[in-house]
Amino acid sequence: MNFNETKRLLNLCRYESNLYLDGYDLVAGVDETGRGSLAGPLVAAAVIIHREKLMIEDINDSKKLSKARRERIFSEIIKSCICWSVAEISPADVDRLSITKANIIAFKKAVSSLKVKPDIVLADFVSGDLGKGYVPVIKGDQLSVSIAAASIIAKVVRDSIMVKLSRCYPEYGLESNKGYGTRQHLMSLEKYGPSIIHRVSFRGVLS
Amino acid sequence: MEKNGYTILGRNYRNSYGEIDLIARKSKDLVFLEVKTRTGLQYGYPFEAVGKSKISRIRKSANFYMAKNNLSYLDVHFNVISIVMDNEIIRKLLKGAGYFPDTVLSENLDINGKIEIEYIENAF
Repeated sequence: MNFNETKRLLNLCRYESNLYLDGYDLVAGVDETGRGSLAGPLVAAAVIIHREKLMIEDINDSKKLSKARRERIFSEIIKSCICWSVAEISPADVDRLSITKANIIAFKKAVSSLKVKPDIVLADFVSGDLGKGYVPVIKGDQLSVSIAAASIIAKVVRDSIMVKLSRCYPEYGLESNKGYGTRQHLMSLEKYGPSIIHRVSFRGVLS
Repeated sequence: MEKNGYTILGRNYRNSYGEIDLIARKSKDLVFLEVKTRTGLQYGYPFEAVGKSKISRIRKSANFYMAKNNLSYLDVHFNVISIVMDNEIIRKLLKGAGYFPDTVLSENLDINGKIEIEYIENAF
């Protein structure tokens, strides 16, 4: 690992280090993916990385990683973390609740599903009250290893869900757009209308 | 006004979620204050003007403020100060200028009319 990468990773560990210095024993990170997607679930992931193993090479916000890199880092996280979990909110529930409420519920579900309970959770900022035990970090997926790791887990898991869904609903190109509103997806929506896994409350879904 | 041990952290704080009239802190307590003034009760008490959407905006704005300034660990209080005064007083205050809460409690003001101030803690 070269010097610049070491420096970068040390910066990413800042939040975790400070919390461990404050006396917390287990720090978790939580993030979600699929917030802006027109179809499919909202997926949140939570992970507790061992404090000695935070310097995961190449780790970054999932959006900044190529698919291959993301999957490689995903395997590494899964192997070396203390525990991890995912939580899904169905498209119907996203329609029923607001996206922000769904986001908060997803975070809480993910955190409570962790096999080992954390003392404190670093969460990517959402515009709602997460309550006690959460440290919201604006742009957290770019600033904290744990949140970045959670974002990777969420993305890899959700992407595989969308690929599976694309086999049941082949008209929309979900295996490549992952539910997001690409031009091709919007055209398919106009042509075929929404499916049951589409979030009808979102703009562009119903004509 | 709130210099009974409170540190003022911000006035007319604004962000993309909304705005907050006053942010103050006293050790573990963080107060987000909404100031409402009316010249009469014809439209109801001032605090009644703090409706659902205003509350929602203040909450979101406060939430962002706390995240940005790393204060999410503090105990939060959303308070409202409701002031009813008559036109006489407003004219006098405008002559003096400055921040309402401070000038209202200043002894130099000679107030003939009535002022009704209500400080509601944890209004929402």
